[in-house]
Amino acid sequence: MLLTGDVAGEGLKARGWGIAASLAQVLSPIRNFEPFGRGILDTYAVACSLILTLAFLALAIRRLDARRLRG
Amino acid sequence: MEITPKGRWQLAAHDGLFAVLTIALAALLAWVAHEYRIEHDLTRTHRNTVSAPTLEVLKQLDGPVTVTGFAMANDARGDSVHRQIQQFLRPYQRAKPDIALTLVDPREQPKVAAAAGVRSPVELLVEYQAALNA
Repeated sequence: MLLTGDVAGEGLKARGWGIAASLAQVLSPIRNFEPFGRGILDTYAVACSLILTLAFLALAIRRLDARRLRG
Repeated sequence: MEITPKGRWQLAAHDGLFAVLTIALAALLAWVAHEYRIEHDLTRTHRNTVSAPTLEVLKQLDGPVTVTGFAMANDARGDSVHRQIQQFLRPYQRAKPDIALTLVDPREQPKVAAAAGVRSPVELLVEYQAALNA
């Protein structure tokens, strides 16, 4: 997932698919930490890390809920 | 509670829809975050910020600047050259947001590279008010 997100982001951005490229960036946590390594506070990288965390938390909660409902 | 086969399908459909909507929302939020991006250089020496004289020159540039980077996507070690170019230009783009960068891989678009007269492995063409500077 890490490598796919990284590579796909470049390709999608080059084709002008901004929203899909943004999603690929979300799925590339290693790249999201790059600005911090260079001493830059980047709101986009922070947002991507938060979105990744919250999206998978929401999906996990939903999955647990579904499992509880199905018994 | 007893779940009928139909109810099971409905639950599965709800789960699928929820996953799709979550992914769509994540994509939209990421896109908005990209559009309204703010970057702040936290280093003591401001090494990610252009110097005052450069900033002064950039302020004097009236209108957009287009930079076309001609380079192979990856070098022999597999490192992304395109990303290095993006990182190199990022401080300038922070100072002057209308600096647009286009990356061209000469292997994929040899005609474009030949038309621009590219001779070295990595070359940047800077266009400003129809003037072309290499």
